[in-house]
Amino acid sequence: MSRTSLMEPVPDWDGFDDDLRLSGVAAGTPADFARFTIDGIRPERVLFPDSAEQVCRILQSARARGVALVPAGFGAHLGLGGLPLRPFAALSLVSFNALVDHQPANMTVTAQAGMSVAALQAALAGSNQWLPVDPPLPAATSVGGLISADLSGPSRFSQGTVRDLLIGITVARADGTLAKSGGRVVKNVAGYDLAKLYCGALGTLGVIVEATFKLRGLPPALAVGRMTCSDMAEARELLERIRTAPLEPRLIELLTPVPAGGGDCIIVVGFGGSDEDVADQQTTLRALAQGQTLEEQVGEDAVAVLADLRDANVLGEGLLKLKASLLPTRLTAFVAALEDASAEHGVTMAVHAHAGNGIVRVRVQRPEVENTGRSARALVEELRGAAAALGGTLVVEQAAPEVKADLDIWGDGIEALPLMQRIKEALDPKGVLSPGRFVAGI
Amino acid sequence: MATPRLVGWLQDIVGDDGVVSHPTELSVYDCDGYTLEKSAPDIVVLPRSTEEVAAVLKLLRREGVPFVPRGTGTGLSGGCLPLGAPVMVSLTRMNRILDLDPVNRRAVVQSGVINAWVSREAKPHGLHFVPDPSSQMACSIGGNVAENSGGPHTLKYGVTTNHVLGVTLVLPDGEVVSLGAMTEDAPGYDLLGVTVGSEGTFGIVTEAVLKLQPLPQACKTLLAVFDSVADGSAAVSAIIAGGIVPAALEMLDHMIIQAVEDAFHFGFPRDAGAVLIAELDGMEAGLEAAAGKVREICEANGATEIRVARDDREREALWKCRKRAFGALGRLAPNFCCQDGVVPPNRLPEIMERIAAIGEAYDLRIGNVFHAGDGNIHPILLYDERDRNETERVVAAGREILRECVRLGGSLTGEHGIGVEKVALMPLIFTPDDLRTMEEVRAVFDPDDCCNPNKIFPSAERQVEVRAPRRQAAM
Ligand SMILES: Cc1cc2nc3c(=O)[nH]c(=O)nc-3n(C[C@H](O)[C@H](O)[C@H](O)COP(=O)(O)OP(=O)(O)OC[C@H]3O[C@@H](n4cnc5c(N)ncnc54)[C@H](O)[C@@H]3O)c2cc1C
Ligand SMILES: Cc1cc2nc3c(=O)[nH]c(=O)nc-3n(C[C@H](O)[C@H](O)[C@H](O)COP(=O)(O)OP(=O)(O)OC[C@H]3O[C@@H](n4cnc5c(N)ncnc54)[C@H](O)[C@@H]3O)c2cc1C
Repeated sequence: MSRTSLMEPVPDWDGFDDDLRLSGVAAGTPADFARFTIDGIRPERVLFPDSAEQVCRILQSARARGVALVPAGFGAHLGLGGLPLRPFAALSLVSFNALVDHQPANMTVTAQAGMSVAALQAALAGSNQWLPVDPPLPAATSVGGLISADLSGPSRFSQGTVRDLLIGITVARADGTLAKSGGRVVKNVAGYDLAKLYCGALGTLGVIVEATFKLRGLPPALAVGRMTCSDMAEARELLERIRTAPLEPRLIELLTPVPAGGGDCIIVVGFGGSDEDVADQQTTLRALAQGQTLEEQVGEDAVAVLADLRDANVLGEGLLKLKASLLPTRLTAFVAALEDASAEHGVTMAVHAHAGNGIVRVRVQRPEVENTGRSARALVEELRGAAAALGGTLVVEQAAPEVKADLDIWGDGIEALPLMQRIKEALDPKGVLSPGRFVAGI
Repeated sequence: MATPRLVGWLQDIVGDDGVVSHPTELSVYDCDGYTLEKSAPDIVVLPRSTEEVAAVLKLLRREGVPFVPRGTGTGLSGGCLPLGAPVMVSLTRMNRILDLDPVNRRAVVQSGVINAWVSREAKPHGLHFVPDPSSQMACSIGGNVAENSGGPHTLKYGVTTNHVLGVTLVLPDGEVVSLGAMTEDAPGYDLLGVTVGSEGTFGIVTEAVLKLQPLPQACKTLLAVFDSVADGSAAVSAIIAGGIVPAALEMLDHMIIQAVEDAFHFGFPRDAGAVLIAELDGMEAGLEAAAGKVREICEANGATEIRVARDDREREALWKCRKRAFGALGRLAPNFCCQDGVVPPNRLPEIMERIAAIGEAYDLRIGNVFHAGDGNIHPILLYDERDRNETERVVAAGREILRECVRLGGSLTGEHGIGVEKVALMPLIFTPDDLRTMEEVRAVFDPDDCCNPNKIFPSAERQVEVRAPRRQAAM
């Protein structure tokens, strides 16, 4: 007997359509179907609910009718995650785009899940505040997508990631009921911190409806320094000097081509704070960077440099994109492993690391590897082995569908996997939400 | 329940000196820092390693015996009160710092390690562990993880959950799992994030990977004196609204100032209505300007006097007064109950008024010492537990204060947890669906409800009522 007939319900699309008509849920146009296509798999339906009640009704109907749902924001980039296991309806929350409650005096904000991060930041900037995350393409990233894909950027070095900023969440459960955890105050330990569970869960545990975050004041002054090193050994030494200097960098990024020689090896350090504090750190950095060229930008120019840095990995070429997580001290050793792999597989790569956090993004740039599953798999396995040997992990963030079909994008040996599977079973026993997209095919 | 057989089996695992079952010795374990309710376990077992914990839990599972984890018992919501859990697993012998990696800024510690030890060991490397509960000289890392503890300096830098990268957790069936990792962004659900703050209901944390932070380059500590808590609270709101994020913003009211002054002779003005301790840290440059701004805001809000700590010694003395404020209260009444509510910081003046009114209505003396910057209040209700009626009024007034916090948009607890103390109040902020979701997650870790049962959730069939104390409190 095939796996499908054993495990998977046969979706009753007609019944689902009837339920939706009754609930008055807006459906997508042909363009929307293209937008929410995941790895070449078109959604069967595209839905735009406009209230939490509608989301709940869709979930109830989907559960009863055996329909799979993929929650989404703008949906242009649903590429993170595994191939959808079953035909699905995309459930986009872009109509949920209201700022629910901003309390400047308390440094908190509550936003609906479909609001774009850019719109949110613009609203907050009026009060000289921001949500201190800088995910790629903020205008194309919804609050729900930010949380579900656990997106972060260079500022995570000093500000933490979404999980550190999220203080409350309201989620529509797979059974079509609403449940919240946390609240709207910065400090709160009443009940379990379930918000963490939805961070990075890629929409497999619930549909995020609304989220509350703690905020920071916008730093009055910003500066970035960009230093060019001749090789990784020099970069490593400079990073060490930065680490031990009297500095409080907002971010420390390392960009390098592999193999070396294909371009410059660059370190970018950013500062944010009061005018005096930033100016003082710039002076320190200048003293540190003797021997390297140092280009400095301040104010709006610094903002532009940071935006490029934030988006670089997303916009850069290369369909095979990997993310390794390592101890910061293992960064150079990992780059050395990349060099070996590049020679062996005949590929070039662009490496972009959050050097202070040990997060390394690798874009593989030779098209042959992007498109042939087998060679991509060999490369991924080799690099995953290298990351593991250094005590780290490696996941595939983006790949061609045929590549994804040929390898496990998350890797095996995931700690506590049985617990994760039980969490999924507890919160989505019928497998309605994003089946197949998360670790071990959850 | 303390069958000789069970005691014997436990001794086989942890050694004869690792099991306590004599009634007099057990009385030490009959409450934590929350003394309104007491109940001693039948057996206390003190393992030394993750393997021993796992073996103990496997045995308890086989015998169908529920248990409660305990750190050092400084909890303030009755979290380690053994209700329906005959065996207590105490982690105090698991007190080794296993690894300290200054370059990657990580420490690996056993869960019984005392919070302050971590920063003490990290200090020579210019690092510290940020969460600094006022109990940091006594509380354990395991307790911090279980309660998601905060402290004065977590306003700017975040609470425990923001500083833990991984834990080793022994599940109630004895299985050992590792959640999180040495590295960031471990693939999979953030089970670590839910475990932090789960109040010991998911299993026993035996080890933790902690993030260490560089010590601030410089810091400036101001003490502003106000005629009233309302003036001080207004200053707090204005500081936050002004975009300044101090490292700490702590307030003490008149009653506490007097108690602290009697105990420590720091030189607090005895007639002040409130003092605000504001600490700013960061780069040397710019600190002076920020401190100037805080000073201006305090003056504009009626500060009658502002002092700046001249050196580290003065600063340390000031923090000692703040952190030992609770202890100093022993002089004022035989007993006290420290509440732990939260309001949005801009509602502080309102909640302070309400607390004063509640104190009058219930004829109770209530002092306030609190983390003002994040709206986390600690009203302290004084009483004498021999006076049954007064004790009951303390319980009722505490609940009323929390109700007011909720009404103002806040929460029932900012750092002490729900424990047994606040079980009955959970429906004030959570719907049955909210609570059901939490219980479903709990069941993933503890399907048999045998790890720290009867806590957090107000399920009708196992309602816990706060009772009058049965014995003289040990404060
Ligand atoms: C070409 C390209 C490449 C990119 N590559 C990367 C990359 O390598 N690394 C990276 O970090 N970012 C990358 N991004 C950016 C990132 O993928 C998107 O910004 C992000 O997905 C957010 O978009 P969205 O809000 O439209 O969410 P969507 O793309 O719609 O959804 C993102 C994920 O969140 C889930 N989700 C969305 N909304 C909800 C909700 N309300 N409730 C529950 N789950 C929800 C979805 O199921 C999906 O798993 C890339 C973007 C582009 C355009
Ligand atoms: C004077 C005083 C001041 C305080 N100030 C603060 C403050 O500023 N901020 C703050 O947040 N708290 C404060 N507290 C509360 C208390 O110190 C913290 O909650 C602390 O984290 C408890 O640690 P503990 O080791 O004493 O835990 P315990 O009291 O022993 O246990 C607390 C809870 O954690 C569980 N637990 C303990 N260890 C483990 C483990 N290894 N695995 C699983 N579960 C475990 C227990 O089951 C229980 O539910 C204060 C307490 C006192 C008495």
